[in-house]
Amino acid sequence: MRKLLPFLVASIFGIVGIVQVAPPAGPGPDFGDQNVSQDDGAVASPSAWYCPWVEAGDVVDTNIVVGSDATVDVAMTLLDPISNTEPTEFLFNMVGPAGSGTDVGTVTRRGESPATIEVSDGPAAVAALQRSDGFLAGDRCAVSVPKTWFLTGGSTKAGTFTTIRLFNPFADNADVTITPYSEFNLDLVAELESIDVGGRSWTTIDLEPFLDLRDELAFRVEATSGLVIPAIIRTDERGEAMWPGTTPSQTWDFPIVTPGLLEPFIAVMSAGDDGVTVTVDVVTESGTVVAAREIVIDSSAPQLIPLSDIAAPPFGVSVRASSPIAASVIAVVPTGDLDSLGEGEEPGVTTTTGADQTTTVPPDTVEVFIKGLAGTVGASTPSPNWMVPLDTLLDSETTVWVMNTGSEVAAVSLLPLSDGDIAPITIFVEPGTTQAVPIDVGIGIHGVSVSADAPISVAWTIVGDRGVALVAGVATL
Amino acid sequence: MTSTRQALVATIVLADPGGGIEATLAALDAQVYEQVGVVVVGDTAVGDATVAGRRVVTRPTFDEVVSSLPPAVTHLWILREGASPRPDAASSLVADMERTDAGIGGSKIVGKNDDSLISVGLVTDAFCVPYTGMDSAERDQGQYDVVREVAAVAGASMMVRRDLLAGLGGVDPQMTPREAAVDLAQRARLKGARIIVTPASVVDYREDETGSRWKREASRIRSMFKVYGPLTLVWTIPVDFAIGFVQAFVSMFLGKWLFADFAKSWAWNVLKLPNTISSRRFARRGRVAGDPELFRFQRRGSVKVSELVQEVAAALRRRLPGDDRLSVESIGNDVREPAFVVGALAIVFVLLSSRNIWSDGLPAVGFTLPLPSNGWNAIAGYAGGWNPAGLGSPDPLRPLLAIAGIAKVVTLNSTTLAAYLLTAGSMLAGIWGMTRLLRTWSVAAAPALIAGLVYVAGPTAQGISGNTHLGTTVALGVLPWALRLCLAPVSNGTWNAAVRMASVILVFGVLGAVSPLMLLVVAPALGVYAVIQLTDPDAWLALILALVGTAGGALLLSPWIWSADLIGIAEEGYAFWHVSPVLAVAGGTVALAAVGAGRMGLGVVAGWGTLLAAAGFLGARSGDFGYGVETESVSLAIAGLGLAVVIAVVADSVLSPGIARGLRFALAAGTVGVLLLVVGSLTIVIGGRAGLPGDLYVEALGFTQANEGEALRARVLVVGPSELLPGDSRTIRGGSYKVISADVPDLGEARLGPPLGFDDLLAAKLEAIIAGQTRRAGGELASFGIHWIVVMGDSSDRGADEASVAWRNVFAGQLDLLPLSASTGNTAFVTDIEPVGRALTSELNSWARVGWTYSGEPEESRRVFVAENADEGWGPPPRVTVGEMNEVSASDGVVTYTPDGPRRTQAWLVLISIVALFSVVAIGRRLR
Repeated sequence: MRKLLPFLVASIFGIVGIVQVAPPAGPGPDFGDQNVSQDDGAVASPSAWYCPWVEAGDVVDTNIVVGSDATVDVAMTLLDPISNTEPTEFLFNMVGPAGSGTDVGTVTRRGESPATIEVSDGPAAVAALQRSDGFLAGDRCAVSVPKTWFLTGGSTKAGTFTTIRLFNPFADNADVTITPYSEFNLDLVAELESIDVGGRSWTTIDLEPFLDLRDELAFRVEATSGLVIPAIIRTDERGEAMWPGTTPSQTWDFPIVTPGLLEPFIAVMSAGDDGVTVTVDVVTESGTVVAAREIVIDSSAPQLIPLSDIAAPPFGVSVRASSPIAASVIAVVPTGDLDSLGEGEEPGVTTTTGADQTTTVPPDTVEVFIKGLAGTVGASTPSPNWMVPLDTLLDSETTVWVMNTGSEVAAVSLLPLSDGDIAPITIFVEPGTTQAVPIDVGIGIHGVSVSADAPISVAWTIVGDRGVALVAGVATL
Repeated sequence: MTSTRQALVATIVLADPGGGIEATLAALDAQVYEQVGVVVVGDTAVGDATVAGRRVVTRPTFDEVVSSLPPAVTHLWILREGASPRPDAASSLVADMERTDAGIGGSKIVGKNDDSLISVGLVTDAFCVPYTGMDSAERDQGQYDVVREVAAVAGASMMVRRDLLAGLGGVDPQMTPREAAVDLAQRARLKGARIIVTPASVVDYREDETGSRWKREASRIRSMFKVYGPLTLVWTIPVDFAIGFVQAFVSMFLGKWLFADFAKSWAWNVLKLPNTISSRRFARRGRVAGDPELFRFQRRGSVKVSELVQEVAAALRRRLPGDDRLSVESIGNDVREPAFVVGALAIVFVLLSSRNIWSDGLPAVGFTLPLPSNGWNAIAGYAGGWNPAGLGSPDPLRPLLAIAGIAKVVTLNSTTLAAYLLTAGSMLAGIWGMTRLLRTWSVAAAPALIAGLVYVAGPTAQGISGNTHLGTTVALGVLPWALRLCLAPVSNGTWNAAVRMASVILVFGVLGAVSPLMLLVVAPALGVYAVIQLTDPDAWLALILALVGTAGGALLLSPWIWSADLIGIAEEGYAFWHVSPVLAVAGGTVALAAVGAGRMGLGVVAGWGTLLAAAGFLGARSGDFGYGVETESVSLAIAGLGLAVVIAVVADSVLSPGIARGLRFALAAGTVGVLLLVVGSLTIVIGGRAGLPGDLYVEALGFTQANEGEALRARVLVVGPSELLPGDSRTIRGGSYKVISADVPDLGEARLGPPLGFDDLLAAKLEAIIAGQTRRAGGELASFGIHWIVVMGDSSDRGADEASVAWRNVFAGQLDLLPLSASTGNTAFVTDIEPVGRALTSELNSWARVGWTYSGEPEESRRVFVAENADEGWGPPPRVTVGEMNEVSASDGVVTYTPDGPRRTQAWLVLISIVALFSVVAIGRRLR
């Protein structure tokens, strides 16, 4: 009994021990979903903005513009093309609300120099505008850094070139895979898989050798390790355009898609595995054409939606989709105009722009030569407050566009941001309309702080002899 | 009587507390060589005694005798009272000295009653320890009868030329006789004299060692000081001190308390130093030979060390199984015994299993971290000092650190020896202790050794090692002793009871110190045993002893025990032991066989063992009941103990005659189970780290030493899966992190205290970094002295760890970090911030961590910011709290921490208690 009883108790212990199961694996760190980006926005706290497409050389210059509602210290870090060379740092401060433009060439002139701009407070936002005698290109810089980006609106059709820049301002090396999509659906290229982008460096990839003669190109850029900020650059014989990557959304607002006389398109791609129904409302200065376009796109096929035949410019668009999509606007010289370019006529000799032509030159007396290429990303959500860093050039017109897709009239106040005091402008934007606000040139305005009593969307354009640029505004979160 | 008249010899008899003057005078009276006279030095009464018709006179001092001798006397024959020279002793000495032109001649000393050889001249080692070179109780058969030069002669009988003695300044009166003889001989040799032993001169004597031990030691040290040159003294004195300390320490375990002698002998020499210097000057003045001439007559090595090794070996031999111990015949028999073979194999097994710890020290992995570099620092840290884990805290360190500190001190801060002592020592102690424990139930030695082997290296021990719980691994070596001390039969007598009680408390104290939860194991285990052995009073007595031991042992864990959260320790983590099904079945089979086939007494013990094994098994998988990994490790120790008991019962039963036919099958199955468990145990030989996992941090963090001194000035933030981080870690949003010292944290950093203000600030900064509110993590972390960030685990491959990837993504998107490729297998970043320091002055100079303080160039009127949790103990003053850390004066060039007063006092009380308990054990063992 003295042997048996302990053995029986032990057997019970043993059985209870055997039936115990291993603990379930822990959930892992909850650091937020880094595969999904947050909306780029201006926040009332320090922020870092990444501008992949910055260059200051013998042909091209770049202006980096900062707009802020608060008094801030700004640290601009410009990477050096020579690896292992210390970046150039440029520090300044702004007494807010203020805007500031920095010609990168005055800081350093060594060609390509992607930049990081750190702002000590906010709301603040940053944009970069490249310029040369032959083009204008630029867009807002990026503030959020997701692991996955979407780039739409590329093309390598005859005479058009598309380049992707991958900017890694961070410590860790990035391992990046670019998945291309074209009219041939998924268009895999082995060379675009597992691209190594070293920390504090960048890589520029010309896509023509890999994806030649594609009318439509879209890309999914995924960093399997590290982080990058991508930008897409599209060029043709009439100009150059650059816009950043986007994140998927079911709604996109583009307050203006018709800079100059360019022909606008919306480039869309499904961010998921399913086909998506995309509806486009065209918002003019007088009203909205609801569901002006409605198409169904496949999961792996980018689509270019033409808009020029819906309404007379200027107008913006509001895009709605049944599932998240990536979208951007592309504005190119109309095909007819390209075809009409006769022999002996030199592009660039004619200085007339579309904007000038509509106001000053009778079309029947001067042969029209439209110049420029523009593209930008939209706003996924309307917001009552916007920070719009912008730039002005003496030979160009800068215009802020305010679009109200709501049902009420929006009273909008636009405070020009400069190093001096300029009175705010107040406008009323009717529901379902987009409205232009010209910006005075030559008085040092480098931004506009926009506030409204209803959600609106804001963008700006610059149109002139050099070319055309479409730039998205930044919502204040 | 015939006078040879070659030399005029005066005989001097030195009084001795042992007495025997009558015998000495009688022997002198019988000498064939005529003596000028006999003088007794000291307070021995001689009355009217005469020698050769001359009256024996007495004088109080040796010098007085020498100065009063007639000028014609050429030789002095110095004898100890009680020595009985044979009739031709003096004549032989005179003849051989004149023939060899010797300055000093010595007699052969033989035992008075048994012709045992006591001395035929002496050699010494470099530390002036005399060495006869003879076995104990060696008989005089003329085997050494040749006149030869020696280092010294016995003080019981030596003849000295008078002129030489005068030149040497006589015999040193401050020394004990034998050491004085050695001293005289060495000084004579420096002056070019020859020292011989004359075997034809035979003196009967009782022994050659007189005087108290400490005085003999003191005299020996003094003789070194007097004769050696400076270069020799530079190494002989420190080495002799170290040998003496080790001898005193080890002797404690042999039942001898030598620390007092050790301390007194050195203290005496310190007090006598002026006199020694004066004597040294006189001894070395006019020397014609140097130290090499002394070395010519010295043996290699240390006599003390040799003797100590022999004593330890003998003590071990006494405790090993077997009755015959010392004779060559019995050793021969032992070698043929299974117990001896198994024991020898067990030792070889332990040596092989821990070979890499001997060469590399402890692996740095999980909770097993390198021992602190300085043992005294660790002990001071435990005794109310600063807890260096994480960002520091005044939370008491675990007692394991004090044990580690003691191990370091004992091994003179050896990098690997202390670790080896703890790990290999605990394995050996575990095997040995298991044989002793099983002897309680008369289990034979061979089965007990097999059980011990599985106990220290089997699946349960491997489970503990796999958890990297160093303390519980070491506790495996103590646990069977704790049980044995409680269960061993008690002898009558007050001293026996006192020794037993003191031993129990001490062993329980050690058990609790290395693994606090283990302290709570013995009493319940013995409680169950007492219930099973219901009518056995010894079992109930064992339970009482265990309860007393638990209480006493707990008190010895002061000051830590008063703030310890044992429940928290027991519940931290999740207990789940992944056991191999094969080994589990093997264990169950062995238990079944032991209970079924064990003879009645052993069968009951097997039932107890089975219950322990099963309870331990359940405890090791009790995560669902709320228990944690330390409970798992302690439960594994219990399971291992129970498993060892049933293994021993099966193995013992197999070897026993007369097994019933029906039980043979059960025993055969049990034997197969035992074999499987033994084979499973042998697998730890492969790693050579006593079952501990391979090193994780030395390789991962070694890059921090790339720039000289930087590792001493800055910290590392390690992040990733919690099981890959060193020791405890903190979590934020489910991600684990820990701040550690570079290059590799030591054992003091394994256990984190509760988070304090500075820890909360770090958590807030990390929260902001994770949330993307800042892209300048390097700058944010620099204020904590963090210069490097290491993401442990695979964060890049396809099968990467989720936690590693998440952390890497956090730091990948920072602007002021630089990636490092130096950290093998892990992702590492270094901050692009200069300077970064744990202690940074207002002039931006970073100070290095030295031990558990900080030091640098003093900066007058400046401040130094110490990136440790704010605490009033930091100094020098004035100290203020700035940003939850400390700002102190930089004027002294050092930042220190003043220990917590009450805790330091408690530590002193514990030390006094331990000394008192040891004293009771040592004295009691002599007196009982």
